[in-house]
Amino acid sequence: MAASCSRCKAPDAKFELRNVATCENCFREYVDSKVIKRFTVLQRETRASPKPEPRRYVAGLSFGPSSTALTQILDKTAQYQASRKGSSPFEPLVVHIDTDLSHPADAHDTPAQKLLARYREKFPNVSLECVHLSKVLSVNTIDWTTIPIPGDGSDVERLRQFFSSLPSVTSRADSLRLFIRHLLLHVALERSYSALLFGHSTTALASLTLSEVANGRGFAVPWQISDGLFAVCTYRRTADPASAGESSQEESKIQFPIYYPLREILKNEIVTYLSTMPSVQDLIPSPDKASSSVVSHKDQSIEEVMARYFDGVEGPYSGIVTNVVRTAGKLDRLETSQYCRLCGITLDEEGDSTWAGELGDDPADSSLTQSKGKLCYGCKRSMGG
Amino acid sequence: MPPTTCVRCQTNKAVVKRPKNHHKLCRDCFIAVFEDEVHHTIVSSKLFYRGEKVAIGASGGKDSTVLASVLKTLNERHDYGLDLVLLSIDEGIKGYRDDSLETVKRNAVQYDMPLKIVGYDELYGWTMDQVVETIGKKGNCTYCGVFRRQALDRGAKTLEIKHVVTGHNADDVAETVLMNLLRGDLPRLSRSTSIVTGGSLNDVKRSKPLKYAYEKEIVLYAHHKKLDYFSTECIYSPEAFRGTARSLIKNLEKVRPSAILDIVRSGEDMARLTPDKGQGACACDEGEGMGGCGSADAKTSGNDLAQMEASLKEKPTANGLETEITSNATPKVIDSDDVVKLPIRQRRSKEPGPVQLQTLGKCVKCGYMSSQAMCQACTLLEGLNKNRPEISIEG
Repeated sequence: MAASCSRCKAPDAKFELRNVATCENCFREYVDSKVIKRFTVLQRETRASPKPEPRRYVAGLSFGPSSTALTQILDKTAQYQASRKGSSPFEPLVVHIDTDLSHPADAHDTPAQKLLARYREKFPNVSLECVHLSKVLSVNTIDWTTIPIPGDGSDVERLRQFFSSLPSVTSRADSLRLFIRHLLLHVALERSYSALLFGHSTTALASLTLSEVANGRGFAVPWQISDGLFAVCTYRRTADPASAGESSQEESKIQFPIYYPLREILKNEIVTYLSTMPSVQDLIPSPDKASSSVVSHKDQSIEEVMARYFDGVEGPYSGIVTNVVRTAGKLDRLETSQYCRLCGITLDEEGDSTWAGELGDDPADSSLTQSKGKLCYGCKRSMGG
Repeated sequence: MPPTTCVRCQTNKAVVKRPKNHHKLCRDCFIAVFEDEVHHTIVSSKLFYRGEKVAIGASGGKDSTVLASVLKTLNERHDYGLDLVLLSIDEGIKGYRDDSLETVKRNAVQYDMPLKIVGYDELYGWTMDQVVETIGKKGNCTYCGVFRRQALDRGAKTLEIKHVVTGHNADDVAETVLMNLLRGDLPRLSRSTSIVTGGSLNDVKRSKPLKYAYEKEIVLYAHHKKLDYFSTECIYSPEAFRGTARSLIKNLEKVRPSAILDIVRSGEDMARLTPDKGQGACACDEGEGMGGCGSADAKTSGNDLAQMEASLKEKPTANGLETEITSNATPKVIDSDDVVKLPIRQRRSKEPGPVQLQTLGKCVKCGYMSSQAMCQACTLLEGLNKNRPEISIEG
């Protein structure tokens, strides 16, 4: 017979949560309250005036467990806020970026759109939208002159060619992640939303931290995984093809809040949380069969190696997962006057010159000299090798 | 298919594909490139000065043997004017160290360098075999690692040498970076990537000239130069117990070979982002020191994650390392009478931030640098000596 819930004393607590027996209700409440607490922090930190103002947030949805849980909690919060008189409006927009490059950008009834329609039914209190990845090419928060995007063909075709020209699976995964981030940011900025939310769990943030480290982006870690304001530069495009090769002018720089409200919940806790709501859980497509068995290392990205590592670590050693995120959170965010024109993180000129001095000139890098001083070390790696 | 020619000299047949960047090189070009890169590291980091007496921490393993060979070659080729000495630590492990010390003795003849061997028994009154007899096979790597770090310094001091070079390679440094992130150890993260450590407070500085060299290339260099090295793992640290950070690094290297150097780069950058800005470089916690045991870092062997997790759960604030060990030996009771009273540290950082900085002081017992009142070696020894019977039968 199961123990009684250590929180509400109800008999027959089915779950274990942070080492104590917990019933289904308390488990859900725990996860909800952890996330809602972060919403409160977000509201407090981004409030511009003491008057109540609408909370308009864009959240990314990948159809995975974490972002689905985030959507569920946003829906619940929006419903609650709407029922209260006098509370400021809570308007979440949940955006799925369709990364399927096998169909044209304006195709209808794509698998992603169909799935999103089911989400729409389930979550009536949030707006849901599907944006195709190819729209990233019109985003002006990336300086497109610094990366090798072919000029001909449809946007989908150009992206497809770009991805296939990249040297490794890791490069593709890395650029794809950056593109999705930029596109979500773009949606939020364009429609005057007040913050961007990601559904990363503690585990996902730990995995992201170590992936960033392994991609040579250690300097970017505190920017990438902490909550708070993030500098966003926009670049003017040079319409004149004669000036191709020259980089674009930096046009403006603003500060925009990016938050991870699920940062205090472990991945397996999210999975358990969803298992208590079968109608929500049913929405999530089952993961690829391939992901559980070991595949060739050539077909794996650093991201996947890390995710696999943390999947193994999280169960028995959850403290270590938390450790990584907490440690990364203690690092300073250094800011310089220059920003990487792909990932948008502040450039580390000191680190670049030290590193160049320590390792000497690598002739293999000479092909990248045109992007020198424009891209950070990690982005150079992604574009070049 | 015709044999691939070397990309560097374009004449000889390529026999090496560099793990680092997949360049295909002939034997001579590979050796030249490897040596040039170490030379570049030494020159750009200004590791040595002319006439300096330098001790090479030599275990007889591949890293330190390659280090000795490369340093001898470069010292002659580029006229560094260094006085090189081999310094070996005898942990007192029968069937392992006695054999590897034979290798070091042969190296001393081959490279025409003086050799100094310092034993744990003479320094601490304990051989590792005796330590293992007392505390068992679990957790003894901690003792060995802590003792070795000091032993190298003490050995250097008896030779009046102020600079010890160790065979740490890029894989080791990358492993330490990941390990410190997993451990949540910000102070160590800030100093573990420095090429030179120790120095100011302590009289002996440490450096790692092979910091940017891939382990795989070190093995290739040793192979193609036909170096005489000892490749058996420590008998107390079986192969199956490699650290999880180590296996993670090997997986990353398979996916993208540059990952190892990229992690080193990230580690250096993050060191500048820690609260003490990478300034507190000291040598007291650099892992194994000289390729002593199978897993490169004594702390990463075996059930390290489990230990870390247990200490996280039980005592989030206590010094994890000490808690783990004393559970095998006698619990250390700080306030009992026969223990040296610990002075209370007064120094505080001016602005009380959320992160506490470590302050480097000296051990009250032996004077070795320590961020605690008593250094780790003395703390461990105290635990060991308590367990030792009062009257021992002299053989």
